[in-house]
Amino acid sequence: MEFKIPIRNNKKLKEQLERYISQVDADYSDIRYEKMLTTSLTYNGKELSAVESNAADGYVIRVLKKGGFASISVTRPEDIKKAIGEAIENAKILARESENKIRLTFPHVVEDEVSLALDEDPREISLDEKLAVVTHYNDLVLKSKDVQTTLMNYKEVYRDKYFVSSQGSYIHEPLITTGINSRIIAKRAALVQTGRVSIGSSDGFFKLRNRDERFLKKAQIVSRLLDAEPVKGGTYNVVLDPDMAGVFVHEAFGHFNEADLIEHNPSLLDKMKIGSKLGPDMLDIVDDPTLKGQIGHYIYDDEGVAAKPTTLMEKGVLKGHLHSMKTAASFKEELTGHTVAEDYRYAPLVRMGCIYIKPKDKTFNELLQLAGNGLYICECKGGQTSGENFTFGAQYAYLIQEGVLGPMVRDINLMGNLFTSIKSIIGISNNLELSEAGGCGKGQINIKSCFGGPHILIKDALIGGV
Amino acid sequence: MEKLFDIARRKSDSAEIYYLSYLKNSIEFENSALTRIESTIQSGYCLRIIKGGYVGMSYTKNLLDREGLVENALSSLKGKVKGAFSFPKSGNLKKVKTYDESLNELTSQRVIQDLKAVCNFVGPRLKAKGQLNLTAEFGSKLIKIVNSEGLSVEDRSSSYVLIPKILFPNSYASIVSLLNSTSYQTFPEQRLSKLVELYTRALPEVSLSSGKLPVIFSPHSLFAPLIWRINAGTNAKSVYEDMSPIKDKVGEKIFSDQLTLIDDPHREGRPDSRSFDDEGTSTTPYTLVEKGVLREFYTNLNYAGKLGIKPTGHGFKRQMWGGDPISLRPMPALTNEMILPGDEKFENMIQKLNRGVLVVGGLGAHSGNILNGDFSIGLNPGLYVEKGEIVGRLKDAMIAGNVYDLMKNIISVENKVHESWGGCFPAMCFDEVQVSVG
Repeated sequence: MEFKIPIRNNKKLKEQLERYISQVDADYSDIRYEKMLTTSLTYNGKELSAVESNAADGYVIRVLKKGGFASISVTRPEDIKKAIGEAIENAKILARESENKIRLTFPHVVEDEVSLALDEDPREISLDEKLAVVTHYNDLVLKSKDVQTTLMNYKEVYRDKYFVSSQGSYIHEPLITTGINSRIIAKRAALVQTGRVSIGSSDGFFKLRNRDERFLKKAQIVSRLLDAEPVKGGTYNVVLDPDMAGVFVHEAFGHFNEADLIEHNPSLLDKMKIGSKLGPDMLDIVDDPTLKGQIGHYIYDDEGVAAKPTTLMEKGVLKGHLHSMKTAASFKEELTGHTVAEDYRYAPLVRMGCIYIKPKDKTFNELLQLAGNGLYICECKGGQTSGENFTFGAQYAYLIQEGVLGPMVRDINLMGNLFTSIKSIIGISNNLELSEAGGCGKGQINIKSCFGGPHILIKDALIGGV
Repeated sequence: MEKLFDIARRKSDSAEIYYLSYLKNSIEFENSALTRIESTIQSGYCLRIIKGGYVGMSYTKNLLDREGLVENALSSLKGKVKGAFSFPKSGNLKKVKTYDESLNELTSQRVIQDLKAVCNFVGPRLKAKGQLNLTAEFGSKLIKIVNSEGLSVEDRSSSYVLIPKILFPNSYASIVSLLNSTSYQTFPEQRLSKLVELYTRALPEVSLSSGKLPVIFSPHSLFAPLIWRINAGTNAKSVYEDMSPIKDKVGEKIFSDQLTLIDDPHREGRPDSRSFDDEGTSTTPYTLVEKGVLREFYTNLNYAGKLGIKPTGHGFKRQMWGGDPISLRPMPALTNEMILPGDEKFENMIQKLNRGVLVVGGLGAHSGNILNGDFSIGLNPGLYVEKGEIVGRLKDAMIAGNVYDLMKNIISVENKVHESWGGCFPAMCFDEVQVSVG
């Protein structure tokens, strides 16, 4: 199977974007042109329900004029002139009607052509071979005990991004994210249980090969969930596995640390001052999009700012925030390179790149011993945050009985309050695992927002039960 | 579009082109101050073809290479995705008023003046230190569908959405309201006053011990933990995959007779109203549950073909999280859901509670076992009702249950419906809901 992707003449793309920017009468402007090539192969149970490879593209223009900062996204080149006019008009309205004039912190001017470093370039692997890999995992799971159906999706997202700013920056950075996301659904009588397996990377197709064990293990777990009891609601000492610890730090702390979410909320801003002691001495938290081999890897964000490792918490003390050019100026802090858009339809937002808790000294068994009685909670099923409150679900858990793992339980949803939960971390293990599936739904979807961590022990966490 | 259609028809057994263009402006006020204006001008084409019983699809935002787009759809046929359907023929479509031309004249400046008026009204009435956030979105959308069965339809719609939220300190938990219309409107002051009143009552933080209590779900809080689960169970895809727990229950009474759930794609004045779905199938008002009896499942063309049932006009290019509609396949989805009102005034529902919880918002509904009907959500916020009065909001509390059990235990349904997340709903009170408190 071969697909034909319409490509613009790249040779003149830089000059074209520079020409558009030169037409903008503003204090600062930038334009991002993005071609997004998506290949998708989907099974619903035994049926192959989609085989597609397509391209879409578009422009996002941002304008700063007299203290107003506005953005517009546009599909067709013939609409760009009109779009520039609207963005300028909206910036003027913002300048006139806002109490505070916007300032931006500008990054160094760069001219850079970033090249992809890949182990097995997915674009060079035939669609037939990709289909064979997905079909293999799907067949494997469907043959497993109690499995009723699957949703198995191979997705390859190639974002070819060109950025030009009025300050003279030109950046071309391609990003390619490849993954298989699956839902395994088991059923007995009227009871349905589900589990997820996500494998993937931003550095090549190789991560999708030879992963039978992951799929088989999860199929067994989903089957066992049919016999598991629902957890009883109440407070528990909980050991979170690295995936759940990653969601915990993403939901409970990370969002709160995104400067755009707290910039205009005085009560939260006050609590999230640099230097505030929020956690125990053992707690260090970092966000590092530049870390190689993880799904969230990028060099420049969608404002043309070079990403850098950012220490957010050290020994329980708040050390930094994640920033855009706008929030960095407003907070009078350094740029971090954390402003990312879902695709060509959106202006970028402050996002986490790859957030994790640093490992410490305990073994997993020592954490179980420390927990005494409680729950060992495994593999995330989505989370949500709202200021200081957060929830997240888990695919399964085990009772911890006198320091030893007991029976499996299901229907786990945990709720917490940032300021109490983070202080309640009483143990951190010595391993570190990062998730192979990014994902965050703050306003837009970010498939590259990576998270992870060691095992962590939190005392007295609230579990909803059913 | 005609040229593309000609090429596609020539090279396939049947073809369909879906065209979408939209303009949208978003304005945001945070803490009563203007902080953001964003605009978008988007368009694109999606092509579906059927050849030799297989379905192919391709899409593009800019129609630079028509032949290439058709070739991509043809290439995708090689995946042998079976099509259990044919594209619909032209039919008599009901005229649904979804477009107000005057909205084209609406400017960001005008909307900002309105939002400032809302701030000026709410600000002095907020006695405690809550903050007011406002989001307004307005724009228009054009959808055209042509297929080789002779169908050629288009729908132009306009929308004006305004969401005021009063946030509690240290939180994004809020008391929220919603205006969602095809026409520009100012936000009624009476509704703003009610918003402030509820916020003021909810301000003290209170605690209680875990246990089973009667719980009222406000209209805004109903969709995610409850209606979403019923939608999953009545979706033809779940039925086809044998994943719906109510697959064999059509015609049976599965809920309290106080529950009637309909989908009305023809409701006047609502931006999502449509006379045809994203496959060109004509839409019609549809009853999912009538007085507790399960009536029908909803479907797109594909699952109708697989199940051997009639298409219901519910094929829409949407998914739960993100994605450009142009790139999505039509899947079974509902448009304007409504729970029919009951006979109890909201004030009386509160007054009749000796001890109970009023759910205003929930967190984490997406991470429960949706197909099974289970929910376990953080209250965000949940208000505590004692002796018939709201006395404050609960700190760190969750509720959990199963929609198929809960909907059997309806105590009362409010006597009017409200524009809410996911549809038009009344408040509903249920007995014996598990409340867990940290």
